[in-house]
Amino acid sequence: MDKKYLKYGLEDFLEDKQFVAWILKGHQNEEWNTFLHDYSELQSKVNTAKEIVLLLKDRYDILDEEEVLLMWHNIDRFNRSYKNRARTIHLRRTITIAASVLIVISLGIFGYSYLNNRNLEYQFASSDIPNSTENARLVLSDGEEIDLENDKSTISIDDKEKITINDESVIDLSENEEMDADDTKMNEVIVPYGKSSELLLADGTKVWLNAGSRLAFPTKFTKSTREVYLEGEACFKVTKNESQPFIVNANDIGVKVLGTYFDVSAYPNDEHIETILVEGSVVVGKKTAFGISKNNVELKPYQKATFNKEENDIVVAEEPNADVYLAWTEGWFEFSQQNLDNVLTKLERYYNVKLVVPEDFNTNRKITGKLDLKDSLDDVLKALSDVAKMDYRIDGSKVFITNKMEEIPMK
Amino acid sequence: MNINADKELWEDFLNGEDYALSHIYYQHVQGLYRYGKKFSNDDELIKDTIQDLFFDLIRTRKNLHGTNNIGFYLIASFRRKLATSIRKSKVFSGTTDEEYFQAEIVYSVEKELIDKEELTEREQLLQAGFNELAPKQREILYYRYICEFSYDQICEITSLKYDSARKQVFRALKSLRKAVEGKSSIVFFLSFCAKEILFPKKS
Repeated sequence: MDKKYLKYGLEDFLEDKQFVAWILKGHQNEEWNTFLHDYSELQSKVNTAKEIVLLLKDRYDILDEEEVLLMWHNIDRFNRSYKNRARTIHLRRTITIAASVLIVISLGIFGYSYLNNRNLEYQFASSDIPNSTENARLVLSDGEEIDLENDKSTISIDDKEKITINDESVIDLSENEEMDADDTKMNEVIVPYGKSSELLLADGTKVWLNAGSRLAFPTKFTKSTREVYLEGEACFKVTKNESQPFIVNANDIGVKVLGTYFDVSAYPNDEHIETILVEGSVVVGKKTAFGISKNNVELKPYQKATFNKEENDIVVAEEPNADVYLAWTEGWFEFSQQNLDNVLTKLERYYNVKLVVPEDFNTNRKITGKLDLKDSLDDVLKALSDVAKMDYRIDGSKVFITNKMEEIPMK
Repeated sequence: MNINADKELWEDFLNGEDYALSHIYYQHVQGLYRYGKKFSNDDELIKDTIQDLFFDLIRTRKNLHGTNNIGFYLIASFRRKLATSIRKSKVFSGTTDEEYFQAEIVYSVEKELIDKEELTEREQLLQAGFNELAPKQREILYYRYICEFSYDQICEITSLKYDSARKQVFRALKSLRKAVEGKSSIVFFLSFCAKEILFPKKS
């Protein structure tokens, strides 16, 4: 032991790291004990110092094992998903250089992240998506509301500002002075659960709007960009126009494209916003308050970008079954290795029913299949129940799901 | 504390070794929790903030600098995060108090004394000693004797000047010393007064 301690006062001991480490953790315990035995005159000073250090010891507030483990699971999961994300993006970067050249030349299609300012975020005029049996609606920018009577409605706007609904009624907006070609005035289509709608925008872009969604769009695209706002799910087939990029704004995400075929799913209740690309190339970027997100990702055909709202980052994955995501535009609901959970949620939206699932029902099992949404709910569930090993009972707007009864084996 | 072990562990973590993350977590989670409890009683808030702290570490792993004292690194970042979360939660609950973020450190021994119905003379002295400690002094003592930080580190966390931090510790220890050695401040004060009266300083 250092001889310096012989000259130490009480305060000096309290300031000494080695001394404190001995008291708190028993470091060099033997050395200290021999030292104090040899120089017993230090004993009383050391005792007082020891007592003071021990007075400050903190003994309470211990987190129980279970909580510690639970938090660790969350951190571990986050770590894994973050690593995977980093890996996919890294992998893709090396591959896409060649691929993107090819696409730009052959299709003349490219995209880059659209970085929007939060202040510019659009507020839907309609307060909410009706959850009831109401018809889909078209709300014009002057506030006029038009019922789209069919379950599957079509709307088309031509370049002379005429709106045709279900191939019948025509609204001529060109003579309406209040609604002269102004991009800031938006029309909205609101599609309740259980309905869907097809739109042909003024630039020839086709939009399929899925159940429980709404889209805001101008009558005519006059600004330097063609901007629409989406809540819910829609599939876009964008007309190519390099001088006027097409922009889909979906909550926290912006997708900027010049011409391509892709699906955006951005339901407010879902944890994720998904963009699935079939043709062309888009880059999906987070909208930030500063307008720039370094975290944007470029999508190639048959890739899917998933933005996790909670973790606030974008994961890119190969999606060989991209077509499956677009099947609903043709009245089909196709799924491949999907969680039963997701499939049931989609059906809930499409048929506007509430599914009641018992606690012991395993909704994580993966299923693959194709359902015709033109069929009645009963037919669809019948088909599904075989694959998913479940029973169901329809009671008004509620469907009760149960585990399939085990067949009693014959002896 | 084995400084080199910390340095290596941290480097392994920066290089993406999974074992390092779990090691760091299990080594420090209790300390962080206990530290958090000094600032807030809201268990969920503390746990969320700890989780967030680790999410941040993972997210920024590539840009982090080396350290040879992980404990210090974690406490310093945790304190900043905690201040933000507590301020946020207070805004929601409508409190307009400016002093959101102040550690209320009650030492274990002190808590035992408070819970006791009757105190011996010695225990009373101890309690009086603790009562003399200002909140800031308590916090610094916590860093000094529980986290075992150096003065430089304490200054970094509390944004105090070196001299002032030392002075605070010195004063705090003096109060405790008096308590431990059985001289209450009142006795001390009285003896001081008596001296002044009996032997007034010659002017």
